[in-house]
Amino acid sequence: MSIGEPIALRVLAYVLPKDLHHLVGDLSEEHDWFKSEYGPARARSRLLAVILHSLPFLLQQYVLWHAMMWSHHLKTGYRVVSRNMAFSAINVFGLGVSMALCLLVLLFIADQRRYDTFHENADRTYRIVSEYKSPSNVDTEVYATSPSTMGELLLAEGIGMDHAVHVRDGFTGEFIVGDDAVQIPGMFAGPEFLATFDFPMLDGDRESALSAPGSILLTPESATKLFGQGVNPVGQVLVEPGDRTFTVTGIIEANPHSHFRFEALASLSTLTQDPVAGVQIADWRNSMSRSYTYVVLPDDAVGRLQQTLERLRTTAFEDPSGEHRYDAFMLQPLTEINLGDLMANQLGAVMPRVAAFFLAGFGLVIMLIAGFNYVTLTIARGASRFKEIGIRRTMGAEKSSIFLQFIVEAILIALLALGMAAGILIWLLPAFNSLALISFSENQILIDLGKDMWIYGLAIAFTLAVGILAGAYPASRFTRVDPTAVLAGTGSGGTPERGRFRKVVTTAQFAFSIVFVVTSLVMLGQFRHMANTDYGFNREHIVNIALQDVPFDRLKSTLATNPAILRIAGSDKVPGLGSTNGAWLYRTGLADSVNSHHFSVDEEWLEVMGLELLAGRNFDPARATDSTDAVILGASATKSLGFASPVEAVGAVLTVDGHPTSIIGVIADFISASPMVSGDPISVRYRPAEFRYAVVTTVPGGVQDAISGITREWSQLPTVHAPILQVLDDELTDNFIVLIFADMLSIVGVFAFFAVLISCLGLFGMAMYAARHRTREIGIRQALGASHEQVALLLSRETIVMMLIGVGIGTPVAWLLNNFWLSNLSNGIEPSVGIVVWSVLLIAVLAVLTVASQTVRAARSRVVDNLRN
Amino acid sequence: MDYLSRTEELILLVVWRLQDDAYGLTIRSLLGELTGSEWSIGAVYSPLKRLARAGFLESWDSDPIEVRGGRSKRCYRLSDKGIRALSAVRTLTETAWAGLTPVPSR
Repeated sequence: MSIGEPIALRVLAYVLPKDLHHLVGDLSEEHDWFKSEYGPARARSRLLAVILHSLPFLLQQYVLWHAMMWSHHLKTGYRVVSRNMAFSAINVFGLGVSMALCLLVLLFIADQRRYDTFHENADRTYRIVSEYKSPSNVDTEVYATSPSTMGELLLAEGIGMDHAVHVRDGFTGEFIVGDDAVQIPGMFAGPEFLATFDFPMLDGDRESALSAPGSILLTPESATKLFGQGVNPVGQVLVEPGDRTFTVTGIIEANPHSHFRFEALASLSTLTQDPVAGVQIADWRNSMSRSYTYVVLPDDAVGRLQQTLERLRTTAFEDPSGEHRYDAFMLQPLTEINLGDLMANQLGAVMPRVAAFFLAGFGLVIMLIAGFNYVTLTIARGASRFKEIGIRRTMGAEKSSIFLQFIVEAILIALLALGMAAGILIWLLPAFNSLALISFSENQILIDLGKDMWIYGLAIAFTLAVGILAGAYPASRFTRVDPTAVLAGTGSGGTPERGRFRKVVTTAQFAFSIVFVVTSLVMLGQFRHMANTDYGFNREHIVNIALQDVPFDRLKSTLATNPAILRIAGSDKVPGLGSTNGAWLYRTGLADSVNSHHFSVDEEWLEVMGLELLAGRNFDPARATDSTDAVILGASATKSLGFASPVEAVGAVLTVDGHPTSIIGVIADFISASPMVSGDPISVRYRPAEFRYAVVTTVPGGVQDAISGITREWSQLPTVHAPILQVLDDELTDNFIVLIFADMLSIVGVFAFFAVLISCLGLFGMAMYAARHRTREIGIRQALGASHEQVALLLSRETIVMMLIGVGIGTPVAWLLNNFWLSNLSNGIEPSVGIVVWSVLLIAVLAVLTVASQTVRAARSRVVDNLRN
Repeated sequence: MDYLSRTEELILLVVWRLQDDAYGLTIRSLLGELTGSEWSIGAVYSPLKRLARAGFLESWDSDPIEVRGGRSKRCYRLSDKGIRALSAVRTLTETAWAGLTPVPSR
């Protein structure tokens, strides 16, 4: 192709079939002649005129040629797929399963990525997050919250922001409806919220709905919950149990694709104009825990905002005492809140980015295992296609045509796999959505097959990518086949069987399988351990009653006559369910304070919970000092504080949260936070004002009697709330931490199962081809006297070697990996050698069975048949 | 005996007239000269291919030529069948015209 040829000609030469290149040559010659005769400009316009005049013909040739080529590729591909049923079935199954898992992960991530993108200004809205040290903490942490006064201060700076929104979490939304209390929790927000975030309002005035104190916006669902159908909620007055009233000023629709989760929005001025809350919220020192600042600003103001934040950090938010410390304020883009960094005090339902990374990693591994199966099997099978390729190359097929042929075959298999994946997804999607991990935080995959057309595009694009990636390696290998060598019979154009690639792949599959299997068995062991763990306190015959607004003493005297109840204690926290209250213990001479799990209780609690007193005494209400400066510690806490024994600790003086306190007793440790951790420092103080629960022990077998008795007696109490009773044993059985762990176990288990299954299918396929290709060799060996066993061993030997290497690599990795995560759990099991041995045995047995199914058949076959083949 | 269409007849005539120099470009430009109007690519190359496939024309590709961007020419010459077909058309036309005076131009 000569330089300086018009682009039009080069394009023609590219798109037209080779057969018409003489035509391009004619046009080129004519163009050159015109150029020398009339100059380049006329020549060019003449050329374009000719091409345009003949466009229908050229297009027709182009389309015909490509249609022919593709139909040919498809036809060949179809034959290859349908004539090798075993090969196709193995690959369709493997790719189908792994594509289903990958698509699930992709859908999840794509759906999570949509969060908060529906706001018009989403791309220039940021949340200000803080790297902050609170007075009760030793070091800084990143908080999603920011000082409550941040928004106002920034607006006063005049740096060109459009909006600053102060959102305040913690609107409990409890209202009296008839004789009951109904909860519609949400957030406090000012009018800027509605101007910034595009939640549609079905009723009410967007400008003013959140302006006046005591205004509330309801979602349609919560309006129905409060007023039933057919009542216009706007203008209705809602009464809180504390007699504070709210007026409904509008109806707003929440959006599940937002990190803001609310059933109601209350006006922020309700707080700021309240005599008590207003004072608290005006001081940023008291209000870091629940205030969120969102800003909308033009792109060119980002730099100015960052400078201003830095200045405010060292001026307005400087605490000379050093109790509060900000190391930085950062801008977090609104659309990166979900699937973002882990932060303290997150608002609403946020899926951390690491979760997505983990899922994506699992998906990638299983996709690789299935993809490598395809590659190795295609190459193994390709030996029988060398002649076909050789003939086609000699007949004038281009290299690109051979390449395309293999890619088309891979895509056909991938499309079949997509069909299977779709079937699996129908079953997998609801299962995934109902995982406690996903459903509790309401991060379900919400896709509408009728509306969200992008998922079809995603699925097709993913399938094409899988097909192209899986087909590329075999395609490039077979493209390099030397046709003359093949046809002359002087070589097969390369020996696919002996490929190092395949050995590496099979070894890697064994390594991955062992890691997956060991990990899921270790997780299963840990799960069993947690489900049966001894919490160190009584869990039988105990009912926790949430006090709500009932005074503890009143409830206690009401229940005193209940014959099913033995004892009643008060406490502020149910231990072992995942959340804790903290208290800082400090002993003079120690470098650091000890962060303990704290319980506020009464003198009955130790008895009710069955906690053993190791030294000292229980609380005594008769001693005035017990309610002010006495603490009972857990054994671990005394150890952390440097006491040699529990007895030595009794009588010593500490500071608890800065208050001088003496240790009056030491109790045995119990599981205070969650079954994943044990031996945490525990502190217990006598503080009836903090009580949130009454803990009752019942007579053996009397739990149901007690519950019906309590429910009956509750109605005589001066409260609008319904009784909330929890049987401790049930709560611990359904412990949320254990449920979450069970979810992770099932995720890893599913991936492990399929990783092993797909790897075995690959082995099966390879063994099948090996046995087929070596029939003559087997026959000769048999004729020369080789026994069945020797032949079977011959065919299995390579696999066994690869398995040993794979297991040799995978086992230490699995061991280190599992030791790593278990070492972060103080109530973790010891990873046992037994688990590893069992895993290796499992993989070995599966692999040997898989390969043996083929080799034994080959070995048993008749010598004559083998030789004749 | 299969008859040729008028276009095919013209193309065969042009190939004969051009003798050793008959290939796409020359055929198309001579057709243009004879009829006095531009022939589109499709109108020339499609019948050429058809005629070659039907055996009226023989075609072969020349060696690549530098001035044509390194592309070869597809050259044509009449096959025996082509020559017979052309003369048959001529005979037929002359027989049909025999004894008639040309239509006077009005």
